[in-house]
Amino acid sequence: MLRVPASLTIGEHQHWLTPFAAIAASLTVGSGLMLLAGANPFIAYRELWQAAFSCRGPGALCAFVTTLQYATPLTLSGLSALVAFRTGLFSIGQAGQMVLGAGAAALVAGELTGAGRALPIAALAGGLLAGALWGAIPGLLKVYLNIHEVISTILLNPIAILFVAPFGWYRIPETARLLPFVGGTKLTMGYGLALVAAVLIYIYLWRMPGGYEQRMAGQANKFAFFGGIPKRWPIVRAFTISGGLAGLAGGIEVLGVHYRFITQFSSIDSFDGIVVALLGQLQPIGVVLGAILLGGTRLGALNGLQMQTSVPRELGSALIALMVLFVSAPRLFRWISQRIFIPYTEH
Amino acid sequence: MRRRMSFGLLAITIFSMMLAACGGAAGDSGFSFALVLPGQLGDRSFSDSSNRGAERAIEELGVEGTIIETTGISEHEAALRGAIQADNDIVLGLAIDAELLVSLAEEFPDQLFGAPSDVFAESLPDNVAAFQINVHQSSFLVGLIAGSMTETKTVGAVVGGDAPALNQFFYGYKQGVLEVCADCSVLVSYLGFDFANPTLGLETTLSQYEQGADIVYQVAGRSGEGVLEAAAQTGNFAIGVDSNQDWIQPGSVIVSMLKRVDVTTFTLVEWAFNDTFQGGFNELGMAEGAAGISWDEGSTTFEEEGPADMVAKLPGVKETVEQYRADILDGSYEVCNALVVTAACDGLIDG
Repeated sequence: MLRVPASLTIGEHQHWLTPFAAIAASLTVGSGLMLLAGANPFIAYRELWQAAFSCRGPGALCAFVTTLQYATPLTLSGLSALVAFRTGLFSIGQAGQMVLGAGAAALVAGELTGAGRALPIAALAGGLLAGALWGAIPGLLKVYLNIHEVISTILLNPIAILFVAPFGWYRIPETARLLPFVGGTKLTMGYGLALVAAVLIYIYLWRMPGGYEQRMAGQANKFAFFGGIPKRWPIVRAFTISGGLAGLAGGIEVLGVHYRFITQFSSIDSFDGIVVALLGQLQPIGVVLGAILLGGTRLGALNGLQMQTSVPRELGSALIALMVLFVSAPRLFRWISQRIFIPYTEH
Repeated sequence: MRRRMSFGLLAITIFSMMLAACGGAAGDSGFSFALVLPGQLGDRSFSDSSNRGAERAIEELGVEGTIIETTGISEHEAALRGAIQADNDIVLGLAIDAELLVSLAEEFPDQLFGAPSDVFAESLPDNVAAFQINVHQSSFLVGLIAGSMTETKTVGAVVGGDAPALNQFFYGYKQGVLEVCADCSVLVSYLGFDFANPTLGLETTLSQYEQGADIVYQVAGRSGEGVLEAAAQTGNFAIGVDSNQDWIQPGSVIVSMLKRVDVTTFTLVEWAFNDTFQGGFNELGMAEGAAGISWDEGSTTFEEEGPADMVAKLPGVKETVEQYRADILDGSYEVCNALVVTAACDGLIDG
């Protein structure tokens, strides 16, 4: 049976320096790629940095604000993947859950016009609920029919898109939109919700009995069962929470950024959540930072590398891929680091 | 010692990033423009055509130009904002959502915007110039060609999605086929707005060939590459779209319908460069040279590489095309336009 490797599900043993060293290593390898492409890596990284993390003025002039906007759905889908990973599950269902959440949010926004000023909240709640219900399906399939979640979550993604396809280019009415904090940007309360979600997930997983059950089920399934932890509910619960987080992400994108229903949130949206969760070492705070890093690198590749240098924008994706590789292959990284710099110790 | 070295590495990394971030931005004098594309280059049709217009502007007008590829809808706004902040004299957005373009134009009233194609809006602010290229007439011409050359009395079309802007291609084509071959049947398959899936285009086209079609018109962006491929694989024929695609599968692509986004892209840059920019909505078509067929440009790929029996039909077909072209241009023959449905569309729109 396909199992999640222990190195993915349990992040505690990793050294806190690993992500930073992974960033440094991928920037170094990225420099090599840029030199091969005939570009000056220092100029390229400067442009990437300026286009993503700099602030030339208030509001729309501040690129970092847009990076945070990009980080909003990434944070939530990263948390979605994290909850599953921590329960020993490998969920690739974020894309479908986001699309369904977006569809439900758009539907509530268009139909429930009597809700007045509570309309955006109602629409977001609709998105969260739709994602959670959709997310519960692979959980139920797993515990009752023993269908592996990788297969069911992958297969449920295109089905979700079929469900909402008739929506077409559904416009979000003005009263249901999330208003930006600053004019000319799309940073809304959605990012606040993502941060709150990160805190709640931390409290739930590490400070509450339900979360303890889940982590134990993920780390040592048989031991947990022997110790009296139920076998089924932690799994269904994990999928429900995971789906709800992704559904909320879809709702925020539709209500706060695009003002219309869309099904395509990112070119590689099936795996964004997993990438962020791995970058963040399966820690909520890591997910928050990893989402900023991924969102910023995407924005920097789009507006920095592409507009200002001769470096192809794909290099941004390559950098992210390298970082994930270095972070999630600690043994490989440790092997390299022992030979190049130092044999660092674990604690 | 160990720890100090990894800190050293970290410090060097952060320091070099900060150092890099502090450098000044390179400044340029003179005129510059940016073109934001709806997807990535390499479709050999729509985006590539617009890109050619931009490159022509850079070369002929001697201006600075930045071509910005995106990976889809979710990046359009950030790319446009980036282009605005880079102090371009005009920012062009190809096939960008009209509401987004209008809201940016209202937010930045001093910035000129241009839409080379496919922006549908009731009204536009003064700082936006948009072009709509009507392709029903030129699609009619390739329909005439398909209807005259088919041996099986069945032809097909693979269309990206079921929407008026895309049916403008299809209804014109269908009318052209039926005009010269009243008992021909015209198959159509819509791809559910998937413009980036050549495999889907290939499979769909193979099934149309199996249903008896021998010529298929592709209106599906990069998915359409699969249509051309299917023609070459099975020894059938295809008709290209947007750019001249005759050369992609030589001998299998009879002709291409040209939607000259390169012309409108160049025109918008030229307007801004010469200070002759005028906001508003402009419709162009065959009469203005913004739409046509690849033979107009002297494409002879099919004549040279196609099978002899098909090539033998070309002189007669060309005569028919020129007759109808003249009738359309002087107004004595009307082609159905799916965007403004008139009596000419009767019998074309059905299930």
